Amino acid sequence: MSERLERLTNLVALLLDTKVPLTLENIASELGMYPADSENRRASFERDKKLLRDEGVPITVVPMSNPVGTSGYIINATDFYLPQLNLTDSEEIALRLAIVNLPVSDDGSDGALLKLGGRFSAGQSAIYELPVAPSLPDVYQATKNRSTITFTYTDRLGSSAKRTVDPYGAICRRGFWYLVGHCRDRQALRTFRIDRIAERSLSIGASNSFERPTDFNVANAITDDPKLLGRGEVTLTNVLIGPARAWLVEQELGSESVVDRRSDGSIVVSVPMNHRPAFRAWLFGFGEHAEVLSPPDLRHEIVEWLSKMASPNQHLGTTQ
Amino acid sequence: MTAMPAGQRLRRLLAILPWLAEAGDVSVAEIADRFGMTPAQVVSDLELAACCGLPPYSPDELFEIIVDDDLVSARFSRLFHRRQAFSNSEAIAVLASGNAMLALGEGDQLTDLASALAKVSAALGDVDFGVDLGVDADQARALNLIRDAVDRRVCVHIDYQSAWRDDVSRRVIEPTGLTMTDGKWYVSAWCRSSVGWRTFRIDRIMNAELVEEQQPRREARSDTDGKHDGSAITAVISFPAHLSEAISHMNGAGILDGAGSTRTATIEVTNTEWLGAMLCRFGGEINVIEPTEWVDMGLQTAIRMLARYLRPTP
Repeated sequence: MSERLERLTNLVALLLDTKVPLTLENIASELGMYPADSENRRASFERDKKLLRDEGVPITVVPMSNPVGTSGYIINATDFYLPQLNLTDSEEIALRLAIVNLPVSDDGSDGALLKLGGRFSAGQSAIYELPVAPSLPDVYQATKNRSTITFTYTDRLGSSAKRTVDPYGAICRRGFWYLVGHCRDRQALRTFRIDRIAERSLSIGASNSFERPTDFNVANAITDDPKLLGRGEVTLTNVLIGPARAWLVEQELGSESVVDRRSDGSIVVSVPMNHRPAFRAWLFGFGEHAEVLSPPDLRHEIVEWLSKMASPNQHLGTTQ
Repeated sequence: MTAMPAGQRLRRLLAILPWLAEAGDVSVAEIADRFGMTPAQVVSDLELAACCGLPPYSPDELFEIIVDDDLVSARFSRLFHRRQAFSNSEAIAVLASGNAMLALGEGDQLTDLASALAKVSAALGDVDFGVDLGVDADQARALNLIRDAVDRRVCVHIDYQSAWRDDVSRRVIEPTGLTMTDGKWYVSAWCRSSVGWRTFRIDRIMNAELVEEQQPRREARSDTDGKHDGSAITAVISFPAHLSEAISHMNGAGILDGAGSTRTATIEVTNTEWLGAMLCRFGGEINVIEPTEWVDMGLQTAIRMLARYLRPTP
């Protein structure tokens, strides 16, 4: 085991230091640590190369003309080293603290911490683990390089289709990662939940294949209000909230949403909505303390919905 | 000492070497601490690295690492003097954790973090990967205060707007942990007013103040992850296949029968009002099987809500 670590370390050093790509024969003779017979030597080197790539060491393979048909190997310093971040000590600590307190739930956080100077000895724990999605690293790569991506996407109604998207950015919200970008199929800005991208279906196109609008900001690009996640026109609803829930609702929606205050402490709030399931979930969360006043067809719909819930044998509403 | 795979040891070594190059002379203990190793592992890996270098592997071509008693000193001229580049996952972690912390951080730390992130963006490229923790400034303050109380095991005085009772209550709680579920933050705590374990929603805390009083030892909550209220009751529900995903995100969801057109699962219910609202929201598609006294919970809730619409206008 130690012998392999020594060989791997020397291999990285050699490929990083060389000015020209080296063939396996060059490497073996310099290192003197690979088996003599060529079949074993190749197998052993390929295992090392795979391990190095898995550990994020970028080995470039170059076709060689002498001898023809062989490959040369080199590690480009610009690929291998982190660009100088020039962080001050306190900046580095702030960054490490952020990673320890709010880590991403894969080994990305551990790897990043290692490269930023390791963990803290004690007293720091995670407040919350940010989620991951299998396609997230590819989305990052494409967003960074401005590469158009193609993937198979299953929407919330369960239908799958191929999508071609210019990725502008991504945001983690309510436990999920969302990709926001220009959908070439729809010719419009669209949001995709990254965990709904079929695994291994994503392909990354050429770099610099689009320009991100200069005023784009992912946090402002999508609504965080599930009631507005629909595609249709937004309806303004008026909802009466009883005194027992008025504080909560005013805090949630902001005072500017309050259109009427009644003497019993009830309030009427104006609530924009274009996604009925989320609106119902929100409304029903307040139980009998919330009542849709308008528009009349929505009020009617809610009454229908609730009536359907109640058995036809029941006598509805004792106050009728 | 358990043997570590060579890949993992290499990854750690490639992180330690550039750090040593910057740090100068450091103790074995500090390296072990930072990089999650035993002192023996540090010594053995660094002694091995001291035998590595470049051809012809003569003494002047080997890495200059000297482990002397407890002190390590290292000089690197042209290799491993700088840190290894981030993988995509590592870059995401830096950006995501950093951006998330911007919503929670305080004071100088926030200034340092913002300038660190700006430098990272300048070096790695401008990638808009944001995180929305769903907290405003007031909630961030409450969250930080409670986190501080959790870490130091002291108490907190809160004014709490209960969702299911119609008043604001003043309580002293002994917070033990914070969690976020479905975009909402919760604090798990022993509540002195209720004399029991409770879960409070951060956005319903109207006011929070530290009480500098050490939390006494309490018997642990019955559930190990502390996510749910100690008084949670497990319910068995049945539902059509197309709701499987929605159900799987509910508190403590456990699928019992995940095949066929009608499926069953257990969920944890901390209050019946939530259950009633949830059942109404899915329009009768979900049925409660157990406990039997909750079988008509959806119906009863719907009737109560309907009454509001059907009463004569005053």
